[in-house]
Amino acid sequence: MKQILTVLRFEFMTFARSGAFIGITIFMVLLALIGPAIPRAIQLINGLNIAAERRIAVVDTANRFDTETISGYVAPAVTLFGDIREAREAVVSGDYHYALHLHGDNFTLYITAMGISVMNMEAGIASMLRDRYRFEAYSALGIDADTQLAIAGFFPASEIMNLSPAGDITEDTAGGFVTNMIFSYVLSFVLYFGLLAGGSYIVTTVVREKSTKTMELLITSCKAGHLMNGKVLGVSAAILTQLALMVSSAALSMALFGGVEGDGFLGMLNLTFDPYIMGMLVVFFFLGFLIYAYIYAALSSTVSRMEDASSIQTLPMMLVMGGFFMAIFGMTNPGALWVNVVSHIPFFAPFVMFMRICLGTAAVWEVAISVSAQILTIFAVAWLGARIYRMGTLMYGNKPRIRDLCSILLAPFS
Amino acid sequence: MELSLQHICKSFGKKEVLKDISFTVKAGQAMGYLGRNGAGKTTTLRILSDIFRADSGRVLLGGAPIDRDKVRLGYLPEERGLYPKSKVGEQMMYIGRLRGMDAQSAKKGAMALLEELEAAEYWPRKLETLSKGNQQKIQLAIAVLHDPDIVILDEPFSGLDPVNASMLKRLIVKQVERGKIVLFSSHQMPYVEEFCEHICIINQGEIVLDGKIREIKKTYPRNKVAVWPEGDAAAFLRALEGQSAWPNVAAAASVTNDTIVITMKMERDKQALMQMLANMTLGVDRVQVVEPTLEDIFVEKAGTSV
Repeated sequence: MKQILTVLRFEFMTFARSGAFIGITIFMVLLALIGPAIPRAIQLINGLNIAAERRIAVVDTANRFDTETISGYVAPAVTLFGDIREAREAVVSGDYHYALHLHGDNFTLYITAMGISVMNMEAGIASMLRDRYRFEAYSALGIDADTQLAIAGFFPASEIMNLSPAGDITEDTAGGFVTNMIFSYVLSFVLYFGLLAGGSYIVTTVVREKSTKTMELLITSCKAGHLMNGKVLGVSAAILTQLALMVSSAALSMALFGGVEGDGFLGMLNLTFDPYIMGMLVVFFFLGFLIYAYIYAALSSTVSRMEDASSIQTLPMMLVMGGFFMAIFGMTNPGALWVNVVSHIPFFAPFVMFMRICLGTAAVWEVAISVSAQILTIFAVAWLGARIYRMGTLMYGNKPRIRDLCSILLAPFS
Repeated sequence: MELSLQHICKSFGKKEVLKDISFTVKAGQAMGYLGRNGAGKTTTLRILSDIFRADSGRVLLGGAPIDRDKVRLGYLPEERGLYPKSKVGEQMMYIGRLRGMDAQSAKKGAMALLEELEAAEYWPRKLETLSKGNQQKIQLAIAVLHDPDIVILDEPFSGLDPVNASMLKRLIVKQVERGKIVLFSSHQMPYVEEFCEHICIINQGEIVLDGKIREIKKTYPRNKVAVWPEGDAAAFLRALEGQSAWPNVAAAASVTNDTIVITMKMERDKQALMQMLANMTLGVDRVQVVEPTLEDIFVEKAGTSV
């Protein structure tokens, strides 16, 4: 145990002090701080647009609108002009941002300069004209103003009822389904890159220890199994520290900037910190990382040249990518049977079961089974990995074939 | 206390690398383990270090099977290697701690060894900034850092300049004097001869010679005598060859660097040769029986020069 802790500490410190680790950590923390603040920033920018003193020159040929009414739909600073030419000159001189020429019921000419967008203005004016048209039409039919308001104010109510696999009503985990999908997508990426980056680091360190001939000294100083366990746990601890920093930053950012109400895309981005999902992220990340880290460590011990290091990563990389893409495709139908089955396979569970948790389609007992299966798998790959590592550390020369690895696994432990 | 290998066999695939290897090393002695490249030296040392397990045979310490969890073993591998990007002090402490030392004693021990090897200034430096020889000194310091009971050194002198080799030699002698079991392989026979009482020569996986150097040398005929004349060696040899007894005594003679080496027909002709030298009018500085060098013995037993 003491040896494992010594290796763990050494590997943790070596990894955590590397330039790549520090750089990626800073980048990820910044991303975690900025990401949840994006909806607030969008809202702020939109607000600034509305609040900006956009001066508007309006020419209303039919004299149907006053400045107060127009201001209610577009912007406060509205001035009525009697002639379109004057209004146009006001825009050209820069005194006004826009000029509007309202023709009859349903046509508006927008005059703008210097590339100022009229997009928001268009929507406001269109609403104003539509409302006026409806009011006049309903009045002509003899419908009084109160009835018109009641008709216009009608909005069908809706509610989403989420059912667990057992049929119980569950709470919507973080917001809407789409929001959860985005959340799951983002966190799957975090998991994906974390696994690949950590795995790649393990491969690099093991192969370097072999190529620089440090391995022979190490395995005469420490049991091969302890060496591998310490290395895997040390790198895992460093990656988890990185993840913890990210999660804390995201939580802080969500607390400060989250909870933005809005429609459409802004509403979908309305991420709120859900301790259950974040806790599950850490659990599934850690378990998934350990499974793959042991595979990476065992396989990398069988090659001794850096140029062979990438080829030995193919198998775990394929598994990681498989899990990632299954989670992405599974998001479109998280209740499908194949998603359910795959989410219990330990190699894919970190992605697929985690996706189901994010989308609220995984029952607690399913999560428990998945976690148990992953823990058992970790012990199995650690045991098998130690056998390969013990023999692999002394293998030099050409990279091994599958049958070489099988013979190591089947050979008596000597 | 003694370390014994008994009937060790090891094969890799169909290749039999070690064939019934047996030898014993005593505490307070250094044993030179010699052999040509590929003879099986490193495999033997790796079995001793528990990197490989023997196919058969036993490793005993003090007559009982060695318990590697209890015995402290220091190993300097033939293939040197440490972390090039890490600082010397950090990695010395790391290896020390892996071998069971606490942080304080690892630091203290590492500093003491570096000072002894005149390498204390390297403590905060990255290994890759050191010369090959200095890196090797660090390696040797790491091998003995945890005060091992058994010190196994695979080619410790290769790549060292004479000053560093001498420093290393002092460190090894110190281990011997402290009663450690020291076993090392080397191709540099003068070093082996200098501080090994005991040698073992392996050839093609088999032990071909095992014993104390002095006793081994005694088994060789002592029929060569070196003569250092006062004057010109060639003229001295011509005068000697002119004596009537010469054909009965000498089988061959040669001059190298003012030294005459005479091979006698029989070892007992030594007295007759001494008489001939006494009869010479030319002066003699020194006369000495020439023993076979370790290299001569090695070439004879291992079949080729190192």
